[in-house]
Amino acid sequence: MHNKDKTCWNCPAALLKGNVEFRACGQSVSDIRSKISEEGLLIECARRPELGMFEPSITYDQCPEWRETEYGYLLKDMRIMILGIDGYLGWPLALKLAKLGCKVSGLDNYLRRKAVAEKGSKSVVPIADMETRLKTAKEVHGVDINFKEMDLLNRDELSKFLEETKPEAVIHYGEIPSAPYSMVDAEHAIKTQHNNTLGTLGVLFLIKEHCPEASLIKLGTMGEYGTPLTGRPIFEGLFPADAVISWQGQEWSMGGELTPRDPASFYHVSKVQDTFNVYEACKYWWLRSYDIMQGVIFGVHTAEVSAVEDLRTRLDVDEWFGTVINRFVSQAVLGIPLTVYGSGEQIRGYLALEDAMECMTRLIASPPEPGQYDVVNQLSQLYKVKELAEIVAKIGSQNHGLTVQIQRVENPRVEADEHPFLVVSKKLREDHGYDPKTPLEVEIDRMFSLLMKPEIRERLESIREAVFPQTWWNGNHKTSMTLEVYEPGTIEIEGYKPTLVTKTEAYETEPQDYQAGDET
Amino acid sequence: MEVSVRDFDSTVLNSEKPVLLEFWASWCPPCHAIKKMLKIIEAQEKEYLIATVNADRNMAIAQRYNVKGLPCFMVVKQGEVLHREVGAKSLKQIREIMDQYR
Repeated sequence: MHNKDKTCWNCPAALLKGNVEFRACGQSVSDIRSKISEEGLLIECARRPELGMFEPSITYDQCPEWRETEYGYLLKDMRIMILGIDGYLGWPLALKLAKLGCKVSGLDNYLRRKAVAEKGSKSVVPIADMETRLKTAKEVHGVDINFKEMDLLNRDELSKFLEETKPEAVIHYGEIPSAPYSMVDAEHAIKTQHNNTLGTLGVLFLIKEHCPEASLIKLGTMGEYGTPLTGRPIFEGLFPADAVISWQGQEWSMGGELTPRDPASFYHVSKVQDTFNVYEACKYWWLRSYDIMQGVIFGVHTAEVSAVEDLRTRLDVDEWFGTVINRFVSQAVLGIPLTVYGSGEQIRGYLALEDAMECMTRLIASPPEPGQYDVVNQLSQLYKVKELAEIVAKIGSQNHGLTVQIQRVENPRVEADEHPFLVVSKKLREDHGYDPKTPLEVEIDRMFSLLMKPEIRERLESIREAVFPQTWWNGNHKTSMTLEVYEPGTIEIEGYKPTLVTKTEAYETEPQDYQAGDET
Repeated sequence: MEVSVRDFDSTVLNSEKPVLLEFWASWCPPCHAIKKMLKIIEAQEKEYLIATVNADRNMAIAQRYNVKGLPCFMVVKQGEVLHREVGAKSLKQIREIMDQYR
């Protein structure tokens, strides 16, 4: 078990009680305290108060409150709050955690359902209302989920909910997740940033007030980083210690500093603002957080949501909320040539829904240390957009008898058409025992099988217009013109190959091979 | 190795080898960046003892050494502090510091 040696120090049930002084970097102990205990820091266990005050040194495998699961040791009956529990990711995670024995609470104001409707679209996979979802979850999986309809910007209500549930982990999915939505006009941009940035800021204050020991697992995006044209590595949020900046013959370690962000829409900016707010809250108040730089999610399947129709999670394919693979599959079913923006050379990180849920579960099982702000790059593989179009086309034609073409359309976004991409994603694999499970092809095939069902195909037809890109970063609203239509298999996927670094390289463990500047 | 108020004197001050001592804290991102690197050094280093102290959990030691700012590195030889520096360091820089006192 990857987290068996972790101790009370990482446990949300450990209340920091004795010989504790919160300080920020650069302030000396002696400036703040005149009398220092000769003893170490002490805690009280919220779950085992009979232990009294003690040093935080009981390991998970020694503690009866932690039990083994396939995702590592997990706190028994762990109390988890999911913000945005009705969403594409929130709902599958709620079911997965509840099934694992966690006490899941959650809130949602159905903003996603309303915003998709505003686009004139709907979830292609029919989804039940929350009342039915909860009832079905109870019948099928035997789990109780504590749901409240609530806007997380309503701090009075959220405060009461947190006080009542005292979560040991807060999963923050309660944000507007769309770049194009934020680029529609001022109203949509402001709504996105208001909801996301100010919503998160309020959540941070409330966690501090009600459950400062809880880990905040906050969804960011790989899009926060942008695609630096120098080809320098996209580290996991913070520089490693052997990344150095050199200037005028001197060099300094960048270790632990936030890496540069270069967001690509007002939505991405809201996520970058969150990054700074969460980082600061950890520093000021000893909150603890994993900021998840997640790749683009695709797919429909987890064991829990696939159990019965009423438990299915939403699947959006419109230009605002549909992610690229989900949209390609729906276009293939509709007979629309797959819409590749611009050159199609854009490289992004991707992750199947099922794998994303596993990553989140593993992170929930291994909370950060008090005050620790950490960042993980959560993705399983890198692909060029035109490469994805080829894969979707191939599976659609070979396995499902569809005739699929690909079209290059004008790119409504402002983004680098061609760029290098060297991404580091080591922490989930090296520290949390994650190994990608769902191959791209398997999940795409699953999506075809679902979307080819007559009743779903019919729904897809009814929102046909919504799949075309119409929201331009320059403020225009018009359908992108087709630049070229081509048959799959007729172009070479060549040129630059991106690199995904998933494990610590040999040079990091063999100093004789190390040369400054070797870091890749 | 992680040391605490309980074993600091016996482990660090009475060490036969010179000690690369680092004070750190869980809320300090540069400290986490350093931690991974120190593990690598520790695995290979034969001449030095690598010791880390969580400053919050062992404030008495941090105060004794007047630690201001983290991560704080020291080279301690036979109980005496020969060198101290604050802030993240690259692998090369840490090796250079260590090499001065071999």
